[in-house]
Amino acid sequence: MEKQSPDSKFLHNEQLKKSPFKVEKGYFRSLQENIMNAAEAEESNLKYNLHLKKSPFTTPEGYFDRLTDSIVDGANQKQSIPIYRQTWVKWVAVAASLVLIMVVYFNTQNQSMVSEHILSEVSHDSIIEYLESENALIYDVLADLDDIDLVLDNIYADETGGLVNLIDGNPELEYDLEYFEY
Amino acid sequence: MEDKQILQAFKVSSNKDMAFRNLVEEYQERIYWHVRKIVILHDDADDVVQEVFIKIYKNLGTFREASQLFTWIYRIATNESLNHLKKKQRRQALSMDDVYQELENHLDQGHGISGDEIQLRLQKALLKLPEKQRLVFNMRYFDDLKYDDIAEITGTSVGALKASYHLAVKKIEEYLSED
Repeated sequence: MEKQSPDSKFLHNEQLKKSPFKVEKGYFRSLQENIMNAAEAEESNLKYNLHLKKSPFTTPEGYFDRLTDSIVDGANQKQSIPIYRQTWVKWVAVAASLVLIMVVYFNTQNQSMVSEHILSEVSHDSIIEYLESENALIYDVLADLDDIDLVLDNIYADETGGLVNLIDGNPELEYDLEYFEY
Repeated sequence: MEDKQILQAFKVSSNKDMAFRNLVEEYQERIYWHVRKIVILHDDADDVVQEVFIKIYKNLGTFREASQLFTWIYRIATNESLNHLKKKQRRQALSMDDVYQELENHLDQGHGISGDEIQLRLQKALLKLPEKQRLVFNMRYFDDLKYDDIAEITGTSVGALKASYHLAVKKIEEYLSED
């Protein structure tokens, strides 16, 4: 049987095992930070290179003196109510739309009556000849367009450009970081 | 005026403009330099800074104070800057690599640049880094921000940020030691 040392009974006291030393609250959190910073400094010649830390960029003279006014003016302008949102503009737009609908309606009625009256006096042969000449004209115009592909490309570019502009006008659509959650 | 006072004043309509002016005066330089380091060109930085503060003006009323005001502002500035580069890429039908190459060329042309060769080499090295590493390096190295704050700004964990910074430093040192 192994012989116990005389102090072993004393040292087995759990209370004694507790450290009598105290550290400030949050010490280990800052210790980890300090170790990381020290490690960075060790591994990096950049860390304390004050010359490299200087910005190589310049601004026009007096730029920051003017910047506050420029930003505040810009924000106020953007904040003013756009004309299409003003109440009187809405009413004028509604009235104008009604007038336009009425004008188009009565005009179409009149025109169809007049057209029917005129066409009844023109012979069928003349009408067929007229339509054939119109088609021939359109065909000639298209046939003369050597660069029809270019025209189509331009139309395509216009349409897709509109889509790009739409996304550009709504940058929130592509945000990686949702800061408005904060 | 402190951030808390600015926020309180902004809620009172008669003090709103004064509070906003104070906020702009407090943050405009820091935000300009943060944006400038991302978009490189002065004119672009100027446009982005205007947009950042307009967004702040429009949304400050709904700011919930779950984060510090300055990290919220930095977050908006970071987003606007990255979006600006993406718009540039789309408008000119370029790849992002082409956009960064253009910015690197601009560093060589020297307009709005006064740094010496080593400082410019550091900026060029930064343009070769992945976006997040570049952001973390800028905020940690140049702006001396704490990892906790950068984590709030970028929405990334502190551990990931430390790893990103470590990688960025290694790559930059390699680049700078090349002939």
